[in-house]
Amino acid sequence: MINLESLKEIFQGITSLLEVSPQLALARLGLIILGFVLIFLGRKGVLEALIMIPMGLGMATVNAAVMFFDPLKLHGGVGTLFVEPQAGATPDAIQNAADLMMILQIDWLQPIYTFTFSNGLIACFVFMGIGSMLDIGFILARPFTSMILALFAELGSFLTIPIATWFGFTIKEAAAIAIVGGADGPMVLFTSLKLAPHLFVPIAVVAYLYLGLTYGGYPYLIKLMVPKRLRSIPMEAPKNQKTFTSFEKMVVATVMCVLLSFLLPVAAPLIFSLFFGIVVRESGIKAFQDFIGGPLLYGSTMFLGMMLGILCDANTIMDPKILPLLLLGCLALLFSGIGGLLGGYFMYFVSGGKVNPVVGIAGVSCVPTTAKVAQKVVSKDNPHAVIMPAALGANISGVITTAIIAGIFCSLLAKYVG
Amino acid sequence: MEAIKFMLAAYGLTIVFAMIIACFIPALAWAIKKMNLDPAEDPVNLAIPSSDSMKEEQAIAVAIAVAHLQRK
Repeated sequence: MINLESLKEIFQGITSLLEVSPQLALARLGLIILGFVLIFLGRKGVLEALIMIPMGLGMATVNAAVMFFDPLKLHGGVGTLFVEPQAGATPDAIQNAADLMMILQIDWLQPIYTFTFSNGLIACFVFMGIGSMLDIGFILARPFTSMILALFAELGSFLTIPIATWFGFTIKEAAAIAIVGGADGPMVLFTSLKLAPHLFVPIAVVAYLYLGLTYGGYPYLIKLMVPKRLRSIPMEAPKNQKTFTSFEKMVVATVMCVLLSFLLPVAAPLIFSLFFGIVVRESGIKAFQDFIGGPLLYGSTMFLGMMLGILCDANTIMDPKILPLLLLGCLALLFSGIGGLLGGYFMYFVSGGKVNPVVGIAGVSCVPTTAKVAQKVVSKDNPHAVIMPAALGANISGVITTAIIAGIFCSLLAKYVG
Repeated sequence: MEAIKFMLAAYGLTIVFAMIIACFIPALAWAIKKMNLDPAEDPVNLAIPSSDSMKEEQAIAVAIAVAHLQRK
């Protein structure tokens, strides 16, 4: 016979909504709505569709499909059949290997999470794909200008550290949060896994949400800090500009990879992945380049977005540390944007007015988005001004400096307790 | 205070590493140009294991064609 109890058993999604605390129930409903909004904004092109559409669907679904299921007894009796992010994350979150085996077998996306996400592999795959899109010829043309702009645009990665400790985070946690200012998704995943694995999920979610949102905000920051007269400055190619062959670029990338790995072995997996992509691009092995820049990059990005959405279940997001994280992530990217534009001004004065200050925002490293933002803003004021080559140089240098910072953070804090 | 010290130390190290890279790039590019390492010959098809250069492939094709003609 069907009675109330059996109806409760059948419709566990609804029952679990009624039986948890009102805050948690509201958070679930809010996240379902946010999932719809992300899909809509992704489809409209306001946010990055490649991440936001899988993330939005994952977020909406995982908060709908909550049931009475909590094998590791971490969430007060309720959970989902998608993933258990804490399985194996800390020594007390799992009893023994049999528990992990059970989770791997019953949670649908658990094998992808455990074997590609929580060990940073997916960050390395995405980085390989990014590397295969980078032309280091833009740095070779202006190495000093590019590196200086990138250094200024890392301001948020450093200034956020003392602010985060003021909010009560440890230095390790603060460094993992501050790297959001580097605006490089894979780097954020890698650093938070190394320094603050217990905060990995919220930091990754906040970083990717903001990376989508901030690029909508950067044009306003540029207009606020740079007057139209300076935004319209056209940038000419340097006199006697050297051109570099693919072979030369490949040799430079190979030696840089080895040198950086030698200096910062902790970040070597990321450095290797990035330069592997660059070397493959310049080597002429088209089949490898097509694979890394196509199926590997897009497959990894799809699973990355999907996993980020699935990890956004209300139990995880209701962590009391999330609210300051939202603020700190936003601050980190804002400081980096301001720092980048200050770097642009610095180069403008040093070059005697030949460098357009807007190019500094491209030092914030998300390739090639910030370079495109800089060119778009400049083109609106002066359709004949081309700053893209210099912007791409700063952009690629930004990726390299963020890798250096990740390595420095991980190395300096490896043995730090607290 | 500890966080500020860490921030300054990390920023300082980043600047040093970035400047090493910035100095190293033009030096390395110059050295490669000087050593004339760039292969001047037609690039081989790297997607095929043990492939030959275009010239070698053409020579092999001619040799095969000649061998066919001789058999006739």
